[in-house]
Amino acid sequence: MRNHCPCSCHIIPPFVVDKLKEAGVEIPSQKTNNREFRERRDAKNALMRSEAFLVAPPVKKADRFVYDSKTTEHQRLLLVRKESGPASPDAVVNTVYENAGSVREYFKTFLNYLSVDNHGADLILNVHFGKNYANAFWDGDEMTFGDGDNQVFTNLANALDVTAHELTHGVVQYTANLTYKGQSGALNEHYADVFGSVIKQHAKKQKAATADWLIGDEIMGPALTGQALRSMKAPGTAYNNALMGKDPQPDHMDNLYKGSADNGGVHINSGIPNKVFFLVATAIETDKAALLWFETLKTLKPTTNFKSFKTALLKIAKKMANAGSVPATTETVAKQSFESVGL
Amino acid sequence: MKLSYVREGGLFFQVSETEMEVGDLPADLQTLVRKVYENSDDYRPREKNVNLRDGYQYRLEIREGRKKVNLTFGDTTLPDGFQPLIQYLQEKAINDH
Repeated sequence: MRNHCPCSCHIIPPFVVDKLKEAGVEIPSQKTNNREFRERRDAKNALMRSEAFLVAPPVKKADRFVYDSKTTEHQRLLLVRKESGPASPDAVVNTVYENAGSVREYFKTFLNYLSVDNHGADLILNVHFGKNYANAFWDGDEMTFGDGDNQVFTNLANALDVTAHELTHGVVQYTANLTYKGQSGALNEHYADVFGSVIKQHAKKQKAATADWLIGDEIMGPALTGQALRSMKAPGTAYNNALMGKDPQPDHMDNLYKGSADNGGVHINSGIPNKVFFLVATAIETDKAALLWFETLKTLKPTTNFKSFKTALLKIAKKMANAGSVPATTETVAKQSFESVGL
Repeated sequence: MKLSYVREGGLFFQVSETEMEVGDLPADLQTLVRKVYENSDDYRPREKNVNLRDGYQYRLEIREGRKKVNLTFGDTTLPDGFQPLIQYLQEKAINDH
């Protein structure tokens, strides 16, 4: 949030301010925060372009920092847990810390990629954002989670697939940087769902055949048990209720959403490549499919559409099969999977 | 004076919207909306966060006679003091629905 008001009004409740002051915490205005973030990002980008960086990249270790927003809409308000520090009395803080660790570990171990930028950038996580805020987001620098409204969603920081989804948006930003609109935006969402599901399956020691392929099923409100945000196995069937409406995801190009809402359907049309991933993973196993998808991501352009995504993925599949890193049948399986959704 | 509110975005496709007379808002929120109407440039975000993923977009339109003020915010560019207004409008949008 930005402070436009000429007075010194603050959204943080006075009792929270008092408590923070007692603890010696100075509360920066969001305006200061935003300026500092921008300056830090500019400095980081300048460094990444510099010769010194290319010769000797700075040593960062993807350290986790968890901040409590204290139900305000301020990010990085109160640091409550950091890498190797003691656990917090707040279970939500510890859960999101562990979940971010699991995501970091998967990317590092299976994909040889460290943090969101592959240079070990700090992983910043904000919890208890807003009042009954039923959402989570990546904002270019960090992840932020609301407590949920307890109707549609419970606490969004509690689900591994949601943390993996948001962190993957960071990875996409630093790799293909897929434009968040239309088909490239749907691919951006698709990649976030892919690694949300893949990392959940890995943590639960599931195989493609036994996984539920649902995203967000663990954060659904009490009246929505059994439903989810998305189904990669059967797009369009994740939810159907009075609170959320009906899942609008297509599973075939014949039903591609062509409207302007949702940035041109980024959360809608992602159902089509999601289905392709499910089919390929079922044939060659999830971890192999994840590797293929990740290697493809590194070759995509910001404007990649579904058709050029298919071309890029088949090319990488052939290369990886020749190198023996995915099964020999992968290219054929992938081609058939794309064809089955009309691509 | 009329106020329209739309919230789009989030982790899944959803649109919430409502419209109301500013005079029907609680007194403190009426004051805020009138202030925004009179000094809209002071509240306009200087830049859009192009890297926001899954965040909400909030659109407010305040109109009286022929004058119309349109403002769009994201989760990270919402001005201080707007949270109670957004919360009120969001609850109204849910009840309208």
